Amino acid sequence: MRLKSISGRLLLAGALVMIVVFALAGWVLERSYRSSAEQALQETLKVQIYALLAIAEVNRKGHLTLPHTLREPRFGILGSGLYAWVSQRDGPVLWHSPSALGVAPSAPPEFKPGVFQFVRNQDHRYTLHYGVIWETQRQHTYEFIFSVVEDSQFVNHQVNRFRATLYSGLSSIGLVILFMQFLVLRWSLSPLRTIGQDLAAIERGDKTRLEPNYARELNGLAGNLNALIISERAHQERYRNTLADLAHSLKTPLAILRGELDKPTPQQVTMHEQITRMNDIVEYQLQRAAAQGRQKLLGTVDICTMLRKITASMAKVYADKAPYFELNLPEQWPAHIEQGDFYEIAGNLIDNACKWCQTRVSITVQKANADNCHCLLIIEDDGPGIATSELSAILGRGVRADQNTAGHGIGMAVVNELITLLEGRLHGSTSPHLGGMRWEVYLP
Amino acid sequence: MRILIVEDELTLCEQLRAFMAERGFAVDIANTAADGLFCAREYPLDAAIIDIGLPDRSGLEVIAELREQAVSLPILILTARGRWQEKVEGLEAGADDYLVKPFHYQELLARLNALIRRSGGKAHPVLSHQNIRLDTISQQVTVADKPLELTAYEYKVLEYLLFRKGEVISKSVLTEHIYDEDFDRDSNVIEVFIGRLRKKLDPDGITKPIETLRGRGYRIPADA
Repeated sequence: MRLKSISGRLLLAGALVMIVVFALAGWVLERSYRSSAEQALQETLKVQIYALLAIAEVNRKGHLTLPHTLREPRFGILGSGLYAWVSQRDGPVLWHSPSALGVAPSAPPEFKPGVFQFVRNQDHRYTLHYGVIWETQRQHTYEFIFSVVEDSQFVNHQVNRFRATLYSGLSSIGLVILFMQFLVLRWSLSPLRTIGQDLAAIERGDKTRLEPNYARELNGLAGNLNALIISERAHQERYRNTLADLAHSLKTPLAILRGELDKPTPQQVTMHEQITRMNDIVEYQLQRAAAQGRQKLLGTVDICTMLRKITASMAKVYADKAPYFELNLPEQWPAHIEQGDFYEIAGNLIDNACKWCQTRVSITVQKANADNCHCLLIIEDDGPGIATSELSAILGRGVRADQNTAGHGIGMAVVNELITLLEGRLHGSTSPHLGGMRWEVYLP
Repeated sequence: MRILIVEDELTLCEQLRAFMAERGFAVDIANTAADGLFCAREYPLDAAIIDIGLPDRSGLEVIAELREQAVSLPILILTARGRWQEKVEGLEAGADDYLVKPFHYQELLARLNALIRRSGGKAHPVLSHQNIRLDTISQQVTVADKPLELTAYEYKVLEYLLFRKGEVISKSVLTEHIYDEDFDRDSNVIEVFIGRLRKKLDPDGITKPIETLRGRGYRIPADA
């Protein structure tokens, strides 16, 4: 799984680090607690040994005796978990508590008089041994080992209770920290989110540049993006002006040449043809070079406003013919397309419709139900239409300016080229509505 | 008809002037936007051909300024910029038609004639009165369906009077519309042209197509 959101990544990484840290902390705390519990147990067992020493006696015969009833009641309960043994050094067990009946005594360690030896046995028991050199009034000395045993169950129970409390506590703290981390990330990354929203606004055409005050660390990025947008716009403008200048410098001499050939002789007819061909090629290549394609960062343009302007212009140009324009346009339709490119597409198609219509031209903009294309522009006329065989020639890829169908000039080749560049689609058919040509332009 | 050509390329300008003059137009020339604005404001023009790419200002600015000043003469843009955005911008600025360079001179003539005709409220390219017919495209004049030979200036006078049919046209207005600014004018010449036209159009003096309104000018009366 690949996380695409920065805050998601940070949150996940933070959560993983926190789980590892908390697990280690839990393990260390649990060990410390167990160690403390064992220390406390050792102290308790030490008190029991002192208590046994206080009541133990050696009689004249040298026998060790202890009272039948001891102060600690657990010593009197069979299998209570607390047991006591007194054994002779390297010898047999001399005494055991009633609770130790049937319980195997712990093997005494090496005799060390006056030293407490705390051992955790493999049979899950804690044992405290204490070696004593007992001197009687008759100057006899005896060597005893007092051993007190506690089942590990007691400590384990305490540790388990601690562990449950510890981990539930750590989990709660972890959740609170995660939530706080989420809030902190949300607040910290809000400038990035704002910059993203502003870029979307630029794409929609609601803004022309990024704000200068997101966060100190992002100001450089925003400034550079603004510079890029401005430079891209300036570049486009400069490019267009250069092309216009180039067109001017190429076409004015062509106009002069054509003027010189006003009275056609056979040779001049050829020259006329060649000038026309040169002009068409120059025009076609310039139009292709000026095409911008999809320009998301430069925002949207309202194609309905442009269509209204084009029809108003056509009404002037075709004033004698006075075609009736049937406009089925929404109030506005923003599209990610360079203004000049759309003028070229719609201008050529509407010009052709006006040229070939008898009286009516219909222009419709509606939602398209096609892959990647959201806008459908339909231009229809009531003229003679175009035969299917000619259509494929007009729309065929690689059709050169000097090979276009007569009557359509380079316009349709440019339109087709532009629409392809925009990742759109152009479809020609007969208008069921008006009976003439119907062009459908699918735009992204 | 008197037209203004605003074009900075001198060779093309001279070609246009010669072509238009040959077809009966009185032609004024301006090579800069400033000169063009002056001529369009000061001269009684019937149409203007304006190049967009002028050295001092854009032709579009010239057109926009003329329209702001309520100068309503028909304007045809001459442009090397074939993109539709520029054509639409030109027409929006106030131009009436456009032509992309390099153009066919006959197309330029046809479009200019159509503009002038429309500006005078005439829907048809043929102007007529009684048995006289003047075709503004072929520039042929017939009387009772018989072709009539006219000199260039006779044609200009007849075309202007027919174009302004029903209006009284003074000698000075007629002079201004058939001669360009550089021509050495003599108002007596107009009387000579009118006299010759009357003889050619109505040799027997029956129909009397051109009226003289003493001290005011000439008129071809409107159809009853």
